[in-house]
Amino acid sequence: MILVLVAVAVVLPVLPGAPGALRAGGVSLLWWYAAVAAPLLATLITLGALLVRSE
Amino acid sequence: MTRRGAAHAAAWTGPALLAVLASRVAWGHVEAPLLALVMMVAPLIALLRPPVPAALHPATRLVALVTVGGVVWANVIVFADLAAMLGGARWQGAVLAAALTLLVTVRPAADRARAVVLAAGIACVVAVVAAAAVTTGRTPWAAWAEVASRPALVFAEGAADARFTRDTTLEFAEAHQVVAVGAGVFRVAEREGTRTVVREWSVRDNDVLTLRPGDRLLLPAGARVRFEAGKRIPGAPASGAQWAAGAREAARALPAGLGLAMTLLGGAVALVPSRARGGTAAVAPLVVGWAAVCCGIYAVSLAPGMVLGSGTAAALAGMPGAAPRAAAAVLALAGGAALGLLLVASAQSLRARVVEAAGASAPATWTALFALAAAGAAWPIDAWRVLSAALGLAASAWVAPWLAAGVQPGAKGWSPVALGSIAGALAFGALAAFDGRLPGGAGAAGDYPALVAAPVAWAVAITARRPSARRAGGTARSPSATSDR
Repeated sequence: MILVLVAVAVVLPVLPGAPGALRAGGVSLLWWYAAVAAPLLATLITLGALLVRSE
Repeated sequence: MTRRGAAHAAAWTGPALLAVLASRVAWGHVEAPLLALVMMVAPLIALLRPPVPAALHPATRLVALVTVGGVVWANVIVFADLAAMLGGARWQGAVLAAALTLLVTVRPAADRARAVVLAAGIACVVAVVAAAAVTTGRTPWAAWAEVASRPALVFAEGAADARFTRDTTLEFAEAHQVVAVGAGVFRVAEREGTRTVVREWSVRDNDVLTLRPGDRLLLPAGARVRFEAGKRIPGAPASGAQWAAGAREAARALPAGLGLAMTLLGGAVALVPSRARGGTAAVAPLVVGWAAVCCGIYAVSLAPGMVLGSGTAAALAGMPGAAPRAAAAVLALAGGAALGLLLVASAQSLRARVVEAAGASAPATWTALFALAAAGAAWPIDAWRVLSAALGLAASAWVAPWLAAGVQPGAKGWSPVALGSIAGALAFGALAAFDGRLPGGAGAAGDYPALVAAPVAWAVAITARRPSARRAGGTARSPSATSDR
């Protein structure tokens, strides 16, 4: 799952139409995704996995 | 913060990766978003997967030691760059950082304090971000949007001094008067018709060089100059929009992105201790990564010219010069403390890998690694080149063979992992030697040799596995069955 998050960031800049360059709140979607959303989601996934493992 | 959680996080959040990410964000590098993401998630993958076993074969041990040595070298380079920025000699920063870290890490009590050191380092990085936010009066996303909306990236008023930590060539897009700060010899390459003429100028303090559009200024390492405020920064993205978007031809973007991801993910799996307990190990890379991104954004917002020619530490070290006095003090002190504390915490975690690989000679090997790192950092080389080479080698010659063949108990001599390691290292070295000379999309393999070398190592290791092992699904201890450390 985390590797999929990385793969999306690898592919996003080369997609036709450059959807990553669209802005939301003044910041490009690529940056929102790569610097905020994906790392946060990956961290939550990891914390969940660690929680399950410890039970 | 548990000691194991700190060991996990600290192995990855060293000063080189922090400074490289901040500088790449500040410079608007096309790979900056992906670098930020992979930096933050690579240790999470290492956290969740089984640990990479200790290197057994001499070839794999050598790869492990070279990898750790490369990471230590990259970390020390940051301090050499800092010393050069402050007007000192590179070796002074390198020797000071290496000697202090070595002294701390050889003390048995230091391991118990690792969590505290890491927490203090992270707190200092966060303090830098907070001081920069107060100085600019903007949130990171507002600062990003403001920089992205600038019609041109120009030298700020009162923040147009730059000291060059390595030989640098600047190409000017518009007429520019450069003032020498101190004496030196500068060369200017001018176009005259179809030919280029290089003129050498011996300059004294406050001498002015007038450059025309298209001229190139060749500055030696250590040179210090003052640019014209309000003029475009040579070599920087032409506008805020270009800074925000980056630019690279599609043919190279995909393989380069894959190479970057493979390099960092493989390096993290090799170096970061796995299966730590507690949330610290998962959350610390996120906090440090966010802080590095914010530092890069604030650096270009405060003083875009500061990132020019100032080496890996530019984004962190350049901000104090553009901030008011009180904020500058916080930025300088917290930034310096953050780098130092993260260096010590990182070294404490990496030392475990050296102990595994070097055995009884670990103390001498550890000392030798720091001596070599200090000597190597005196040479003006980019920390990212060293760090990505070390992590790429680990991905190619350490992790890939292990993923293919696992650990075979009792395997002696030329085990599949050893053969894979050697093949991966050779392929990595050959591709690295061609860096910059491979055309088009293949150029990504020169930038990130792990892109090709890791699959080569994997293929060699899996081919070399005993046929009986392959038929049985592996009598070897596969990665999924490897016990925890």
